[in-house]
Amino acid sequence: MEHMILTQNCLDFGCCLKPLLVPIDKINGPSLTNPSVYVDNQEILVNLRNLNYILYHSEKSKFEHAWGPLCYLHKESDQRLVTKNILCNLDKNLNITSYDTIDTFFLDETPMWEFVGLEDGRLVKWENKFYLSGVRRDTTKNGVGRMELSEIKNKKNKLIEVSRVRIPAPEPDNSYCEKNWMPVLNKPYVYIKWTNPTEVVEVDPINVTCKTIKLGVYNPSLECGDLRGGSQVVFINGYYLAIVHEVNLFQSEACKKNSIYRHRFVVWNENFELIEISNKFSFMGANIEFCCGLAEINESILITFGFQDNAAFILSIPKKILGNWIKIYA
Amino acid sequence: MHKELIDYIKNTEDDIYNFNLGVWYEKQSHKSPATSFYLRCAEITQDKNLEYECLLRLYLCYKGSDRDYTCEVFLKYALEIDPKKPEAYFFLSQYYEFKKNWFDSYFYAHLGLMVSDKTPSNFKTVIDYESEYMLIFYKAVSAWWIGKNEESRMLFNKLKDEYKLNKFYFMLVEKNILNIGVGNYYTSSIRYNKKYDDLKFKFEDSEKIDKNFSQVLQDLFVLTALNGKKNGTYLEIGSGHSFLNSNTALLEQLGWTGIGVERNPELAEMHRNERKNKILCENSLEINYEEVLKSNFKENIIDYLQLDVEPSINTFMSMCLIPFNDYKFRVITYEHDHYVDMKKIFREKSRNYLRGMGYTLVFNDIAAVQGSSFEDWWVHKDLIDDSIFKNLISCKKEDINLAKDIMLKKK
Repeated sequence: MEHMILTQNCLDFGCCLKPLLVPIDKINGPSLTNPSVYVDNQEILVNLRNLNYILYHSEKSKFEHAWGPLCYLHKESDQRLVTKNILCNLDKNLNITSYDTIDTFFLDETPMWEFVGLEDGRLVKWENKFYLSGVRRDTTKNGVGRMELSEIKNKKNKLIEVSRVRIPAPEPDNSYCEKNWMPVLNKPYVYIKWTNPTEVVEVDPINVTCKTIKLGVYNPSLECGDLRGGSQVVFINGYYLAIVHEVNLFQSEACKKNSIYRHRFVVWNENFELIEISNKFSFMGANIEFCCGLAEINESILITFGFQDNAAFILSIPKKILGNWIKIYA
Repeated sequence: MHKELIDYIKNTEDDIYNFNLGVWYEKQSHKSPATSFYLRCAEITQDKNLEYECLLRLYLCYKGSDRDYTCEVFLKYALEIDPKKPEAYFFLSQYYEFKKNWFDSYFYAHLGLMVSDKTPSNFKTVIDYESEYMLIFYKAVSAWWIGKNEESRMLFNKLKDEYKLNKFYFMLVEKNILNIGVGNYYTSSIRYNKKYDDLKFKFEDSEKIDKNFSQVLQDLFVLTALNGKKNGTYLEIGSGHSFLNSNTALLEQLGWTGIGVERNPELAEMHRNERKNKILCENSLEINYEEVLKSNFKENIIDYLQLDVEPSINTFMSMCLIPFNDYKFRVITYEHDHYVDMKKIFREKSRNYLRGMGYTLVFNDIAAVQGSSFEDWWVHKDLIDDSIFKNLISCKKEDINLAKDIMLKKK
């Protein structure tokens, strides 16, 4: 096995893994994935990405779809790939106790691209306001992606998106797609935009600007691939910790796209200097998995991840075993 | 953590653990994650049967989700794995039938019947394929729509007669048989024509009759039993066409009076325009027969009762509404439609009922052609001439009675 399977690796150390499901008849599409966890005063919140498509991934290319080994299977009558977001409350046993689809009606505009909605929203609470921060690609005809900051409020027992800020990329704001920026939970409106070299940006949501506040240098000694974003950045025991992903994008011999995602723990010091990267791992052995949730609760770490865009899980691991994978926590 | 998940985590490349986790998700009604684990299992496993089952489960997860092309992909992969198994043929035929792609539906049902071993495979999960009758059913349905109407009828009748169907398919077959009718063969009629035929039983003035109207000589049977009675009376439940196949048109021409019941307004209107006697355009199951009989007949003995309301259950239920304790009938023709009665119960029920009311079954299972027995002919022994009764009874056979054999002889 060329990588570690994280859930397998921590099975004997008191971890708990739960599928995240809400009744299928209460949601807007067949798939729940890429969950993001946030702990607010011992209350566990999870955002679930609810998709109208099913991801098809023939990992061993034995039963490739006619459209290739990796494809999005949308309805034949609706080519859009739509995301809705569902906010859930979990009890201490990681069971969902309540949930509600976030109502975005008041801020929605007619989508201009086939990917619709806020994707991979990370839960964050800054200045006493709850936000989902993810990428939106439906505002232009060519699918330009930008991170957005959506404030969520509970109004009369209904979750409503009350404001939406489309975050520009730091000057020059001309990239095609910005996504997977990692919000730093204890620094309002600060994101780690890129891992290696580490780029930290600060957003001004009032004036809708974004500037780079720290740009590290590429550290070639950290032997890893092209590290992208992932979870929130959580300050634990004096270090910033996040889970990031790297992607091997490739084509089959028939020129059909395929990809393999792997993940790593990444640690920065208080100055956002990259100091450690773990070995790569998958969560449950699939080639497409994605993590956009990391939180600390008491003596545990909560990790939320999606499996092939079709399933969502929450994993609780004792904080003390982080040292198994990250030396700095040993 | 539930067992299926723990097992999977312990060995994510184990085929059975992937499969079981897929099943677990399907049981939670979450088919999208189930597809992930079924596909992983199908790609990992070396067990061809499990591989086939995974592809069927993938199809079932996607079925009805507006991802039709993907459904086809899985079923065709399954066919590729094992063309001897019947399930993929069945689902493909069913799938194309649902899309009204009749040719492909027929093609896969036919191929399944020709190529596969037709017996259900031994799967870990429930796959809704019970036996070859399901392939025959879709072949029958699709055959109808591609112009193979007689083949379709033959297949539906085969299903009715030779297979034990589950409730759902029983209902579908019954409905289809009623909808598509019995075709030209089964609806054949036998008519009397004085030029070519002789009547086996002579009755008063029988030589004056040139032709009859009934489908299988019922009118001539009534006249035989009543020795050519003029000015008789009848109650005709399920009148149908005013002349074509009518059991009472000839009687009316001989001076009989009576009343018909016909639910179809167009047929009832035709009757009013073309016939002398009265007709009620009503549902035979909603009639107060006591009132109808009281207001239309002076006597409580009526010469002829016709019962013919499809389907079989309606004929029987209509009969049960008739006040047999207050009114008696000399002759009864009862159409039990046994050949299309899927439950095969109403013929016996009607016989028990009429015997209990004092009637004698003279000729059972009347048919125009072999295989389509649809009617019983009854008399009330006390109300017809004894010598005629004995003569009729002497010709009685227990099996199917072809009308022409009973009533006619060739010149």
